[in-house]
Parts: sequence; structure tokens; C-alpha cells
Amino acid sequence: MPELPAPTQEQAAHFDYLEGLRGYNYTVHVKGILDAYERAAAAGGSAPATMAEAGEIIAPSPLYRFAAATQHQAQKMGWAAARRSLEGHTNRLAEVLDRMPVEPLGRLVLDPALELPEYYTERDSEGLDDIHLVPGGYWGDPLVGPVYERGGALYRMAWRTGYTGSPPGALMAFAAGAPAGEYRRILDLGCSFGGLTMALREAYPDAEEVVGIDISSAALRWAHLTAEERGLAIAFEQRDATDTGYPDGSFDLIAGFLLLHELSAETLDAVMAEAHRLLRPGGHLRFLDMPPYEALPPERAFLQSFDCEGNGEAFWDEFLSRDFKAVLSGCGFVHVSDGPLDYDEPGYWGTAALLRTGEFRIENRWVNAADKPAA
Amino acid sequence: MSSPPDRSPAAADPTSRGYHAFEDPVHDRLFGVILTLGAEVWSLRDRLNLLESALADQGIAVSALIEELALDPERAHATAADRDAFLARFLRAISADG
Repeated sequence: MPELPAPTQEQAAHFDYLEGLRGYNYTVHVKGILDAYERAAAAGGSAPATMAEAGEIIAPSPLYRFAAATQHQAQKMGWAAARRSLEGHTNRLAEVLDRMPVEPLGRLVLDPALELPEYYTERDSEGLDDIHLVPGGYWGDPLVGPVYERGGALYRMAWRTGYTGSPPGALMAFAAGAPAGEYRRILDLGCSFGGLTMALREAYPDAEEVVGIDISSAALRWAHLTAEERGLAIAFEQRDATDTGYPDGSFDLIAGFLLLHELSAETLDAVMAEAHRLLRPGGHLRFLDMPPYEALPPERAFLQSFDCEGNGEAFWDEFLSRDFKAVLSGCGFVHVSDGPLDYDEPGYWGTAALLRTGEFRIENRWVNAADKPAA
Repeated sequence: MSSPPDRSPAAADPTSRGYHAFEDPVHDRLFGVILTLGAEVWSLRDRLNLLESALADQGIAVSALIEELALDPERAHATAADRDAFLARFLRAISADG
């Protein structure tokens, strides 16, 4: 990734504080919530069967309120701290973002005429927080790439080691985990800053082309610069996954990472229909995302559900309550499957905000896969 | 499939914008102030530790000197005055209305 300006001592201390605050929240508060829940459930005779019942025990407790408030505040403080650490360098960063490689390995194709969907840009008018509480969302701030690089690393509890510059091993395991086959053209849907796209390029070095599409030009610009810096030939193109404009059957493998839960049911249906159209007969589709609520014990599902309001995830409940396998089957896919990714990563904290106890591994490691029937 | 649970605080004000964890959104704001102050306190402590380490590297044993000065009775009077002035400023918002 392009080098970010080094933070000052004060900024570094704030980052360290926020990582420590989050770590304390997960290991003390969230663990305390789970311990208290177990005691309450045991005292009640029978364990709650649903997340709603588990929530009746957990939600009223002061510890849950403070844990939720801490997580929410830490998230907002993290983005603000990341943005603040870049503010004295905006001119230089703008130059970095404008300086495209002279002889790029891949390409960046932006479409200024692309209409961004309202659910993406008009959240405030709906009374919703921005996605992940990123001020201005992922599209309005030209510096969102650097902000995400630093703030995302902070969220990962790894601000000193970076974010998209060193993709998590799980992404590599997921990218390389498609069934054996020849994948000449590969598409990453909703690629944002290109973490999965780069993992796909590394996993399939002989592929003719790896393409990442997203609706955010700022995210794509950062993804392109990062990929070029890492010597990876990738085409990043600004397109809407509901209507990409590519010809039928353009791709052999279509993948996505943490895209599904960002989409309304209506949009998700349109994206899956488009993915079906874009895959060649016999092609493979796979997504890495959150597990459905029903795959988790009720109390974990309840904690996972915090993100909906607590982290600006407007469609979280809708997606995680939905039968996504039925959606894929309904679109005409076959061999539809789901399950946890077979991968463990020591020191990994997870992604779902209040499910990060450091000891539970499937929260963003859920693979949905399917094939398009061979002709 | 599972139905979404009720995560809202019991008496949440439905007209307030954005997420709040406590019944009164004012408490969320106050908690935010506390966490922000925590960040500032940690930043100052970190910088002080670094300063003492930097001085020690230069052969100036400032940490031991600070401990001595803290117990110096001649400084106690001036320190108390500073402390009282600080408290008056810090608690003015509470005490101003009498």
C-alpha cells in the first residue's frame, strides 16, 4: 500500500488506547456478559432457545449497555483518530492518490456518471448511521482509502502492522479454496479496498484477468494503488454489481468478501441474478461473510446482532435472518452449500463487533458457495 | 429463520438520531466524554513516561527527583494552591449555580 504518514506520539498513544479499550471490552466486558448469561440461563432451568430469548436476559444488564456503548464510541473515536492523523498531510496524500503508475500492471476504470444507490449515500436522511460509522461513508471522502487503511487496522487491533497491505490469512485460504478447476477470468464483487481481489490474484497467478468492481471510486483508487505497489495485475472498475454491463458468461469464478450483509434483500436478489448471468456454465460462486444467526448459539447470535444499530449495518438483521441458500437456489445455482471456513488464525479478533472474544472463530468466516449448472 | 431481537434500551427515545446504548442518549454522550478523556490521560501518561526515559538516557535521573519533590514540604503549599485553582475550574459547571 502507499506509505501513510507516521502518526505523532499523541496520535499513536490514542491508537494504542483504542486498541486497549477494545481489547478490555472484549476480554472483560463481553466475557462477563457471557458468564452472567450462563449463570442466568442455568438458574432459569432451561436454556433460551432463540436469540430473542437470550436478548431478554442480556440486553437489560448494565454490563451489556456499557459494553455496547464502549464498542460504539470506540468505533467512532477510531475513525476520527485515523482521520485526524492524516489531516496535516492532505495535500501530500492527494498527490499520492492522483499519481497513477506510469506503466501499470493492472488498470483503474472509473465511471463518474455512475449513479450511486440512495441506500449508500442518503443514510443520514433515513436517520441511519453511516456504514461502520465511517463519517461520510465510503464514497464521500476522497481520503477514505488512507482513513480506512489506518482505521480498519485499528479495528483489526493491528494498527502498527497495517490492513490491506497484509491481508488476513483467512482471505488467502478462502480465495484459494475454490474447487479445483481452470479459472481464467475471476471477478470480485463489491471489492472495496481490494483485499480479496489481491488474495484472488495471488491464489490464481495464471488467471488471464482478475477484476474487482465496486461503486466507490475512492475505494477503487486506493485498491489500485495498493495492488500496483504489491506488483499485482488487477483491473479495478467502478460498476454496480446489480447491473455490471459485462457480457453473459464473462467469468469462471465470482467471489465476494463481506458484501452480502451490506445489501438489502432486494439489492441482494438483483446481485445474485447478475452473478448468475455473468458466470459461464459450470462456473463457481463463493462468498465469505457472516454466519446466519441460526448457525450460532442464541447468546452469540444476540451479541452478533449488535452491529445492526451499533455499527451502522442497516441490512445486517435482514441478511443474517434470511435463508441465503434458498436465494441462490432460486437464482438457478446448484451444489449450494454453506459452512465455516476451515481456517484458524492465532491472534485474530474477528469482525462482528461484540462477538470478538478472541476465542470464537466463525463470525466472519462463513462460506456460501454454489455452481452454475454446466450447459 | 431467527427473528431480530429487541436490543433497544427500555425507555429509548425513538426520536433521537443514531445509536445509543443507554435509555437517555445524554448518558451516551457523557460516556463518550469519559472515554475521550481516558484517551487524553493515556496520551499524557505515555508522553511523560517517554520524557522521563529520554532524560534518563541523557543521564538525568528525573524520575527520582520527581519523587523527592513530591514530598518536599516547601512545595506543598504552592502545589495545594495550584490544585485548588484546578478544582475550581474543573468543577465550575457544577458549582456555578450555588
